[in-house]
Amino acid sequence: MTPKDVKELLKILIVEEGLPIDVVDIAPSRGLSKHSTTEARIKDVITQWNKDGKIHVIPPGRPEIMEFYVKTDADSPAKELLEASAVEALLESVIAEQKLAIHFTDCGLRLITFAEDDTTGYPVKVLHGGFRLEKWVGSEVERSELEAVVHRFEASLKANRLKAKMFHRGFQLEKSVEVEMALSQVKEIAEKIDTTLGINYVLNTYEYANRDEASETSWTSASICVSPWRFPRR
Amino acid sequence: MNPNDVDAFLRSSVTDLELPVTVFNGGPLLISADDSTISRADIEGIVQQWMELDSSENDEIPHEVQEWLASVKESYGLHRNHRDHSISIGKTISQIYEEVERFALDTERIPEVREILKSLIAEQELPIAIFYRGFEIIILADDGTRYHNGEMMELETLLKKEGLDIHVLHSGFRLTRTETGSSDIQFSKIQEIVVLLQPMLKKYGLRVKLLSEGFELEKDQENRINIAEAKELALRLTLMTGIDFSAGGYGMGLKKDVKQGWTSEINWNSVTLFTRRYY
Repeated sequence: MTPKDVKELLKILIVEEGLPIDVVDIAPSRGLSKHSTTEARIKDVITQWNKDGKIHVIPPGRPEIMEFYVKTDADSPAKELLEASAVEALLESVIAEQKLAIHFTDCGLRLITFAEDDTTGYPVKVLHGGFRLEKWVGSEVERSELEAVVHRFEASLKANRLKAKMFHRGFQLEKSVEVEMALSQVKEIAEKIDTTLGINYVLNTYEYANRDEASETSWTSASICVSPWRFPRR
Repeated sequence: MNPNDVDAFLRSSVTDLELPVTVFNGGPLLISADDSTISRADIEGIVQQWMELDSSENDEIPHEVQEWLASVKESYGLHRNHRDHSISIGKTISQIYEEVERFALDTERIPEVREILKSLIAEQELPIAIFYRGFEIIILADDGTRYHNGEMMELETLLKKEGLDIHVLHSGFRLTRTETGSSDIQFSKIQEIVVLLQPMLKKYGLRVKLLSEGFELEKDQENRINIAEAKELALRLTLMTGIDFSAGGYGMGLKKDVKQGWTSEINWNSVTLFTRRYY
């Protein structure tokens, strides 16, 4: 099964379970650096999986402890899909509670696969671009419904002797330059995700409309995502 | 054996093997391990003085042609007597040697990496052709071995005069695919050159290392493919092989072929997948 097939499998299961969700392909991103934290996490897992497979690539200067943190998490294919759904719900509630004049977009998921029977030198494959789950307008999806899809998905992968992992790229928060909201509040939101859901979220990159006149409140977009340190370092 | 001998050997080998590559002599590499007290501007100042020394006009080239060449160099923001060179700050010679050795190990995997790239392009059904961009030949000298030529010694003299602790090595040779649209480089032929060069250098305490310069992707300008697709290919290749690739330096081809309204993001005809540099 190619990564494309794996994505199609997820699509089919969503349809079979009758969930009001579309799986939308993401075109390659021009701003790849925006997702560099996620790409670094993917690289770590690929390195580990390749060790189990045919090649052994050690990125120079990478401490072993880093591998330990990611390795623990490398075998749960759709964990981040469920987590992203929980983060999305939390973000919606925080924005409503604090009446924040910001909106957010889901940066979607990337997918890597590792076929146990693959005889090529590079058994780990990466899906082109990535994909996003889009709920139909006005519809609700229960967590248990999504879990049902995930359980079937994981069982099917196991039956096909295939390892897979989805990496969520985080969320992009956006506001207009006039809105008075400090960047530190975005950090607080990331910390709230950590303390409430136990997912080690961090403020990743942020942009200003005019970098020369940048102030604490003049940011226009900020991305938050899972830290390269997968688990909170408490 | 000095860099001039290696240069001559490479040029004659490329002609003998009829390789579609151009040989570029990279010139001296100035290395300053100290990045706190010696600035890039200090080193560039020395390089400027060194370029001024190059007043040796070639009698075989008419004076008008030499003047024209000088004006072309100036139009590219280069010194009239531009001489190829490179500068490395913050790394010791042994660190640079280590990196060259490590990148040279990656070169052995390049034909395999090319196959992966081919499959990634096929998977997306992109009408893109792959070519080797070129290769670098770096000569490493054992401890105590001198591998220098006249222009490197000129630089050393200037550096000594200024009392700067900067080492001068040779930066190597680039064997670059002749031009966009030309035929591909045969990797085995490049390896053949290295195999011939190795024993010649060994007796002088020198070693040859082969580094890849990445790939060139080409398509017809009429095919509308966003440059982001090439960046995605570079990213996936990096993730899958552990070798860092980045997409850049894309071109539109000849100016006369560029139609009004075409953008380099969509109508590009070539893009380079670069690998990291060792300095």
